[in-house]
Amino acid sequence: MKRLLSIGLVICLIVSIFGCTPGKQNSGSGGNSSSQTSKAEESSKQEASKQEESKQETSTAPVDEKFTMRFSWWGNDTRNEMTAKIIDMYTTENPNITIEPEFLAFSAYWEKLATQAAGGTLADVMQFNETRTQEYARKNLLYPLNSFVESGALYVDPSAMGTFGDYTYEGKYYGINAGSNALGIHYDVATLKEAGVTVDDTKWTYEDYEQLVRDVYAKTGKKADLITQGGTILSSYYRNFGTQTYADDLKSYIMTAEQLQPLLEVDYRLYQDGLTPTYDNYVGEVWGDDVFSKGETWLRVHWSNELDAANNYAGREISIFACPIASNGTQNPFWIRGSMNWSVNAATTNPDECIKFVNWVVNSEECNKVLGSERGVSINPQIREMLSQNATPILQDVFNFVDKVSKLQTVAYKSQAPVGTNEVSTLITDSLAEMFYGMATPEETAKKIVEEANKILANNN
Amino acid sequence: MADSRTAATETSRQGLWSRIVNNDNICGYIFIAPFIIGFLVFTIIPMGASLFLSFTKYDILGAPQWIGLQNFKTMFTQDPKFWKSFWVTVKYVFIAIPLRLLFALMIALVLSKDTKGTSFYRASYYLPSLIGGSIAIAVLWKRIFGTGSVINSLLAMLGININYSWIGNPKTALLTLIILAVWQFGSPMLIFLSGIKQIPRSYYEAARIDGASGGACFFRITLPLLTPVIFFNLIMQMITGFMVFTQGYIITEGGPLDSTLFYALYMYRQSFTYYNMGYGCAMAWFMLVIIAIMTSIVFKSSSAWVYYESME
Repeated sequence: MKRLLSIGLVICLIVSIFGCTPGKQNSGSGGNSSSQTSKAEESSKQEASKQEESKQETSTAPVDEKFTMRFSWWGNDTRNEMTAKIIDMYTTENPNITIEPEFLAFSAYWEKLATQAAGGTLADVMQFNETRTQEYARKNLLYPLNSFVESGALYVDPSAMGTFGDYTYEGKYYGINAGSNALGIHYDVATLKEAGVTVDDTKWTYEDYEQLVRDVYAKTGKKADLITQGGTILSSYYRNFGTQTYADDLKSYIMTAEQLQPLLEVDYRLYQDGLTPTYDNYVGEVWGDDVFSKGETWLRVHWSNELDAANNYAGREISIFACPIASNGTQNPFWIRGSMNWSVNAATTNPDECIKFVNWVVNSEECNKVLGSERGVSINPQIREMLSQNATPILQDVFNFVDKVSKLQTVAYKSQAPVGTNEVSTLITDSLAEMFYGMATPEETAKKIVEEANKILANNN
Repeated sequence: MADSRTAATETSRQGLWSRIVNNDNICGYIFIAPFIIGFLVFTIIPMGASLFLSFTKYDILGAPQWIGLQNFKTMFTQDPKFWKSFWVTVKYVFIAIPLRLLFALMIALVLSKDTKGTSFYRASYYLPSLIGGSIAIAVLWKRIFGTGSVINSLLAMLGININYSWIGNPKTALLTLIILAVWQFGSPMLIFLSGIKQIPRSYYEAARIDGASGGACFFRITLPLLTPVIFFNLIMQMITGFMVFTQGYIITEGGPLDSTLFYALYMYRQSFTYYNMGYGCAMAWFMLVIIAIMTSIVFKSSSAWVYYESME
């Protein structure tokens, strides 16, 4: 038995030694006396890189060294194609760099990122959004960008320094804006024309919105999407009631149930009167195979940068309105934000190359000619200028829209990232579903959303 | 004493290689070593880790914090969705699995006859199981059971007008996923097929000579001799049934109104969407206990209905 055990152990050892031999590793990672010591050095290096000071020292890598950069983003088909194209362009220009792309749909992306973070295998350059940037920065998973901004390796136009607000944690920048956007309501241009109505979206209320849906339905028979579907509209709606969404301690909403109720009532009335598709159409919906893309409805809440993809999916002309104003609000909700940002893995072996790539994506004309404003409107004024000179009509539409909304925005909103927002968003979708399936009134639903969300926030923060 | 021991080591050193090669046990262990190592590294160690994590609050990004039995307390007393997802899964297992086995058995009986093109039919009936829970199936299922779908048009031809989506209706959403599960009967079918092939022809010939009808042959010969295979299929299918995930994740996302929120789907959501990995691990362990209990019940009951020829 003892002999058997020792044989077993020997086999285990052999297999584990072979198994530990690093496969694809960057030559710069050092330590080649034996595979096990290099492994140990790797992990100690990762430890070290989490401390700010040593990070700057270990980060120097010779120029033109071969480097395989993992690059991850979430997106739709339009974005994936554009991004694949710029990766080709960059690697042709920089033959020493190989880029391994990883892309997924939004929710799957964050699920994967969390597991990668736990396993220490995050990509070198990652697409992020502001709440997640704060969350990951808090856990020391992202690389601070300040030194690169100061040295000019990452060029930021003086006019755009304010955009770092959303990505700042304890005074350090952990992301750079990949484009700005605003929430709006995508609409079918032909339907609006056919109905012969005009909309002034700079000062319309949710009541005006309801009237518009009714008028257009009367004239064209076209239904509108549920405006509350998925809860996205709330990120605009919150902003009617204060310069921040959550209390300072992040344990509750600023908005009350009474304030939320009128929004739900608008949608509920339209739903009851049959002016929207029935709720079962939204179960398991995939973008591209949804009622709006298929032309069954003419209005849908979407972000401005998604106008390009929406046009592609719909195959007809789509434009965008600003979100309505809540008549019971205390301020107007117009709001521009960084739609997404680029962040760098704190444990990357070659931060300089990562920044070089990010800088190219953010600031080079050739790259932005391909990307357009699909990720949002560039924060670099020269790029904006260049793009608007020979913009497609859709792109011009996006530019005008973002420009309009930024002029309408009168208040500065505070960036907040409480823990538990995913749970809150499930709560919102579920509660809305209950309302549309006739199990709760708008009043009960508003109450449930605010009360339960406050409970979740209080538990998590 | 000491001399004899050194002598023994001496001989063992000389004959070590031949002893390994000639010893069936050692050879056997070497052959199964890859599995054993894989089992240790990819099953036992992760299981140990998840048992530990089930007593912690762990958000994946940070370090786990020990909170004792808090996760289990929340699960049993404060989380209605936990029970909701549990009952959805139980309902799915108790309806879908017997139906799937029945279906698999029926098709296997038909395909066991050696007629022209059986191998083609066997392959094509197995196909649905191969494509499993893919996006293509999600889209297909929406075309079949969504609004303005195939089913609704068929019903309209019969004069029944339904304009709701079967997938989007909380009362019927689970049913559509059960139909999908029954449709994917390929692997139990193959096992039934090989079981049927194992039954000696002579039994049937003897029965025929004695004047037994086709029905009697099935109930008196095929079914009793097939009970070990049915038992095996039941156990395997029940276990995979409790772990159902993909269909709910891809086709319905747990909706509408959580009517297809399978246990594994809710566990996944807690772990990877809400970052409550500790809670997810606790849920996993509860499921393990439930599956163990259900399996042992089936095992206990087997003496009453499973018939082994060798026991005669």
